[in-house]
Amino acid sequence: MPLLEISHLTHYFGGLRAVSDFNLSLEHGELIGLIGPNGAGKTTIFNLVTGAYKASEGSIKLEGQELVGRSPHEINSMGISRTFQTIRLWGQMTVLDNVRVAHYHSIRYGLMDVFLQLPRYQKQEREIEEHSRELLRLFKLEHYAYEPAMNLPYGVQRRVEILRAMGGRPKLLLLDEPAAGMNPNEIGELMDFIHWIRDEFDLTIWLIEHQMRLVMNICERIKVLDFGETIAEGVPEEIQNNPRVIEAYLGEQGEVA
Amino acid sequence: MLSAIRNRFSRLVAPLRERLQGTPLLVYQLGILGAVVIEQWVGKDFARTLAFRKIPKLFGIVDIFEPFSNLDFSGILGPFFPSPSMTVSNPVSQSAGAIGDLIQTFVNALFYQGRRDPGFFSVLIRVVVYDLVIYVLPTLIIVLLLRGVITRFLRTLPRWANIGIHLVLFYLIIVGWGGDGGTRELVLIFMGINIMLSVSLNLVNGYMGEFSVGHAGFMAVGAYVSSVITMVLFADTRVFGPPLLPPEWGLPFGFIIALIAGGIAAAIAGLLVAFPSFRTRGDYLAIVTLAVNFIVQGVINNLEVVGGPRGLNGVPLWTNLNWTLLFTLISLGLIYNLVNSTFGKGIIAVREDEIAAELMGVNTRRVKLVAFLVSSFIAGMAGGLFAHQLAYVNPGVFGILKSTEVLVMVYLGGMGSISGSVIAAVIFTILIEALRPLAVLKWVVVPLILILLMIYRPQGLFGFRELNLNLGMSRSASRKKIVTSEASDAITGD
Amino acid sequence: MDLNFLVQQFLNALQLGSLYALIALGYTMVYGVLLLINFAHGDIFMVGAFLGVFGSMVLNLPFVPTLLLSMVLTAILGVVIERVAYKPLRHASRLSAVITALGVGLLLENGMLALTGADPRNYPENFIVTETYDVAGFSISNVKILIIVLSILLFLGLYAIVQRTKWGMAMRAISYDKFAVPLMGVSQDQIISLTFILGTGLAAAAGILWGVAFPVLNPYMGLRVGWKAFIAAVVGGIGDIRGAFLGGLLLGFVEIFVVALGQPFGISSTWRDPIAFALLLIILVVRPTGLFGVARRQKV
Repeated sequence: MPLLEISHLTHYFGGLRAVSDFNLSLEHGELIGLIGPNGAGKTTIFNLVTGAYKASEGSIKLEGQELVGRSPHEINSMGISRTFQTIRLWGQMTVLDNVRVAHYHSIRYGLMDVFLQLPRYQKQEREIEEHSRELLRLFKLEHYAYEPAMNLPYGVQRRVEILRAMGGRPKLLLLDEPAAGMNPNEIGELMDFIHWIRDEFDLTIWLIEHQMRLVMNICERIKVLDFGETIAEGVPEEIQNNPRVIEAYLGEQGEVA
Repeated sequence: MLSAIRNRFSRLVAPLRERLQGTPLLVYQLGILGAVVIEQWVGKDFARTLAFRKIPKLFGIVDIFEPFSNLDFSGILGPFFPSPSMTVSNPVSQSAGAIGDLIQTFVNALFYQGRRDPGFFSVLIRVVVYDLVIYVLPTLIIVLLLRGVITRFLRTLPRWANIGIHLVLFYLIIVGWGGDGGTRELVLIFMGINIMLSVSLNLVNGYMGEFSVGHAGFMAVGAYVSSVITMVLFADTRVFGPPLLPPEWGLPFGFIIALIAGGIAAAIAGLLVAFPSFRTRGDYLAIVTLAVNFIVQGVINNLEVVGGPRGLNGVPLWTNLNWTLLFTLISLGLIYNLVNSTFGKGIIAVREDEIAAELMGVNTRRVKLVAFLVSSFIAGMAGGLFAHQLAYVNPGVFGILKSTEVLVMVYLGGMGSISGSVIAAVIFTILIEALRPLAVLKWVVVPLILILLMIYRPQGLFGFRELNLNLGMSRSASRKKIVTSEASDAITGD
Repeated sequence: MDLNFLVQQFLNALQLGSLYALIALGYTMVYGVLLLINFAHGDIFMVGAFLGVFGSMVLNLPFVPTLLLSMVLTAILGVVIERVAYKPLRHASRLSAVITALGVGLLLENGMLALTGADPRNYPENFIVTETYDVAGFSISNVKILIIVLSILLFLGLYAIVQRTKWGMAMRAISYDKFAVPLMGVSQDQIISLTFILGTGLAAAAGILWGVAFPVLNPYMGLRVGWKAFIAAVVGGIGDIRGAFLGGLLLGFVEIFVVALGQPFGISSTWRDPIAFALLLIILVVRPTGLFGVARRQKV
């Protein structure tokens, strides 16, 4: 069974069709890219998958379970986590607390356990704390643990956002333009980093990106979107030579690669 | 000029400050306890020596304002806005005359007002002397003497003993200083109630970042429900007749149950705000809370069973210092544990970015529901204590003004800070008590402070930070501290 | 229930509603421009009413000059409040400004009480002489007609200013884009001042008309009325002046007809407030952004 199966996904904003008949089958462990000019509907698809928007038509299945109609936190608890195009950390909270809250769906204690600090509460909080610190250590961010997220440099915030997404132990990670605002050096590091988290956490990764260098280098499969429609799909070499893709990008960037 | 004074003062106390650096809280507690004992012992005599009739009220803060109690400002603009019964020929000269009189009264109040009513400066000097001799010097001496011993002693204590000894001393100080059954006790009780109100509102307004302006409504529900329960079950009243249960069951069990029932009823009323909050945010939700406050008040006004607008008379006078302390500490504990749990951090995440919170797995509806329920539950218990303190409640008390008072405390203390709310409630209660002689002017001073605060220190005294208490624990004892509170401690160091 | 009774109630509702509407306009305009809930607005309404006492009792002016005087003086007060209390906070968090507004409101009402005394005031008897006309069998009081007509005229005047003039357009534009307005040749400060002049002027007019209709004035009169008008503005969809006017009228109708229609069922007039607020609450729950409010989609 594929990890994620999207069929005939369509979404309207008022009368405007933002996504039309989008299909995708994602196998466990894949690393795929979604590209397309600005306004092509890429982020909308992420929003549909994570439940921020409710799909107008079509179905999204995670390991056979329908996601359309579920609330975002439910979808998150089923194993999909994401980052955002513009950073959306909880700025006043410390990095550690940002990661801790991402464990929310694993909480099994009740309000009384909190108030009375019962063993059940203590045990789960300890587990959450340990897992959070473990992640901080793996991401080499432990010295930022008590720093409010908004005080961090931009590049670190980007990494913390990925770190936070890992807090919920996702099966599928959606990265929305992870390289936005980075210089070529940083992009190089980011590529290694993405590979590393996929292997380390046994993840499936689906990313949106404008930086062709990153997409072409690390994605095993790429889908190209224009005006809400899929115009191409394939391995990086195929995409680079696809005339429709070049045409779609000509207006914007002039060249692909 | 002000800063020059401040500089000089800070240079003066700098050596003292240096010596006191890192002194654990317990040492101060012992010092204050010593001062309290000294006051019990020689306070009255010393006050007489200073020509006070009684021990100065609230460290003399009340006495200082007393000379101004007969200032009447209403003549200043009154002639320009005459009531029908007033004859006005020349408002300007009438007003000038009133201002002249006012200045005269004011000057008299400053210096001398006759044998029985000393002027402001006389009171001020004697109050300062009293406070220095009775409170400040003994505290300082004890602190300097015991500093080393206590610091070492504390390191040997396990965590539970450390906290226990702090609590015991705190209790002794409160009861020793304020358990007089008079003004002090009353002020402390209102302080406790105000702490409950401001901390609980801070959960919604500070931690969750909503803007609730109707907290008094929940207080009203708690006050009425708990009063009706205690009156029907345990008291012989004109409204409800003879008690249904033996009155001696009322304390302690009946009272506890009534207060908790009041809290639960208030929490149910809180649903009126919680459900709309799922769809509505910000300004619109503020209106919902406002409307709920009006609705609660309006409904009580129309309930003849509980006296309608005339109010409810004959509520048992059960609230005392101990009950207030108990419920205040319970409320603080509830909120502290909540906001330091991962679940509670979800509340803060909702404030910071609700959409991101929902997408990262936080069940935002549940989080909001809990925040509103806990907040209104505590407000309801505070209302119950309030009613059983005054023995009389009427719906007019629980209006927008009361809600505004609580808002003032929350923003004075700072959003998202429990210690800020506590300190603000303490300051506010004392301020209100101190300004009581000034009558209506009190409510001119309070908003002025609020406005200046917002312009010059909009984050309040402790916005998003906590006061760090030095409990003097050894490293190994504080390690045992539940992991979660460390994170918050770490960001709070100023 | 006879027809005359219904007509009377209809007029009462229009009268009360148009007064709420005039106050609600000020709330909504300030919100539209500054995104600030000006909680002091109800107390500005009170000051307007009190300045009417000054005009009529001390200066012995007739109705229209008193009205104009009060509107001008109150408008000046409004601008002063904005400059002194709100302007320093324009770049601070919105909440600080709202809390400051609460403080200004308290300051106005308690300052007025402290400086002028607690006796209730009213306007002189010859201020507006109440007459009752007989129109097609219905008795209609001149006071009600005056209030209704004047309110509607003031609203139409405001609407014309906001829709037709350069200033009005800038006012509407500023809530969308602060930076575009200076490009139109008017400064942000000017627009904000104008907003306060118009809003507080209308509140002053409402204050005087209120004093004519319900002749007991005291420093706290603005508290309840102000909060109610605020709720009306929100129900209309805060930021939209048509919404504010309709919201005010709606509140007036709900309040009057809850009493009028409830009486036969044993609902006493004291249920007016809770029922009115409950209805408004339901409207807000069904339409969270009010009748005219535009939901601004939150971007993900």
